[in-house]
Amino acid sequence: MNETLEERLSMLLDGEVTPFETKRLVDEIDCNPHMKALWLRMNKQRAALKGELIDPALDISSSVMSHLNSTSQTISLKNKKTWHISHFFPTHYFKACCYLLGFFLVLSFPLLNLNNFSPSDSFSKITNSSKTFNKNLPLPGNEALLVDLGSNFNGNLKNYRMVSENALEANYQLAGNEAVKIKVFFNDVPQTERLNLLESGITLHTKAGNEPVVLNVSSDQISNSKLIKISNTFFKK
Amino acid sequence: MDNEIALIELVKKGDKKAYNTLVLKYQDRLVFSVYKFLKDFELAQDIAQEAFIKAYKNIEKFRGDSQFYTWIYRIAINTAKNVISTKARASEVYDNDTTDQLLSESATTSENPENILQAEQLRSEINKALQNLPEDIRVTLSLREFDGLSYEEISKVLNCPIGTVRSRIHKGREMLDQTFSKYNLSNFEAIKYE
Repeated sequence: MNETLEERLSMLLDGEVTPFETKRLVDEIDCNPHMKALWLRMNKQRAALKGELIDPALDISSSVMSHLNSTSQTISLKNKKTWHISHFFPTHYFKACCYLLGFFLVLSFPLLNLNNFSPSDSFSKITNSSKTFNKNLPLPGNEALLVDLGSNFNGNLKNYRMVSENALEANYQLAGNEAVKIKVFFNDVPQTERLNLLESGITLHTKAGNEPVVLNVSSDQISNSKLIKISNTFFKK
Repeated sequence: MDNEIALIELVKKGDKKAYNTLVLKYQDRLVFSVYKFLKDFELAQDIAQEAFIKAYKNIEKFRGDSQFYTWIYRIAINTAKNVISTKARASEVYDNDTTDQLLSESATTSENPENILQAEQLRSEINKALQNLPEDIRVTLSLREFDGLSYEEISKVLNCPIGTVRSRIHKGREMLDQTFSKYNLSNFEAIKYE
């Protein structure tokens, strides 16, 4: 049992355990002096290997925590800051608006040449069909597509917005609390944005009907190899 | 990194134990960074401590755009600059150039603590111990510690299962840990946090 815990502590040091396991290990470090000492030594070992160890006996954690306990600092538990339209409108009002919007959208299909549109289609169908993922489509109309896009890689759509006339930005949360941002540029990418895209995540160039669409997938928390896997799901059948 | 987000989420919910885990993780690195800046060990400890307290009080402002260490490093360096500025103001010659000058003087004139010698010995012994590890363990641990590869990436590079990577890294750390026995670091009091 101890052996397993020690190995898990080593995994915690490397960021290789789940959030649930993290909580368990935090409790273990707090209540088990052996585990706390081991955690301390593991970190000192890492610091020594990287030439960042200045004093083997250094431990300021007790004084930091004593200070925090004495000042009884409480952290206000703010509500999640994720933007959602239901924060601004009563739910029933929002639903009624969506129904009305959907009704008018159906009526406007022939006008907007959106007759191939189906919200349940995967992005491959969307990009290969006519202009369904459309800058002219109001945001709530694009939401179904964004939700559908996220379902391809088990990402929950947190929020989304039009960042300019020709671009929208959507934020997703994955199961492990990882955040992924997808930017969609209709037509072309502005000059100012080109350099940013080179340095940020994975960029895909595709088409919606005859119009070019550029997609950029980025995250501060996950590797590019995983971002590639996510971007591959956009084109799954 | 994933753990770090989980740890910070716990801290945001008021879990001080989680914060203590972060302090234990980063204290050596932070004190070292500030020490490099100021060349004053006592002051570096005080500033690192102050930075950890400030970071806890402002943890809601940490959005996760960068690593926690990057964020707290910035807090620590700003705190160090404020300390130097205060010193400069006290001598009524404060301006940005003076601050930089004081930082530079501090970096060259303060004496090193005795423990630095001990730390140098330990660093040297740890590196020697690393070189003496069995090759498979040494290579795996080095890919993790020096190249920063994840377990998955290491398993691909070495063409072995993730479980093997995990156990090699743990085994390597266990072997290196024996070096610490000489430094009496195993007797730490467990403190309970609310």
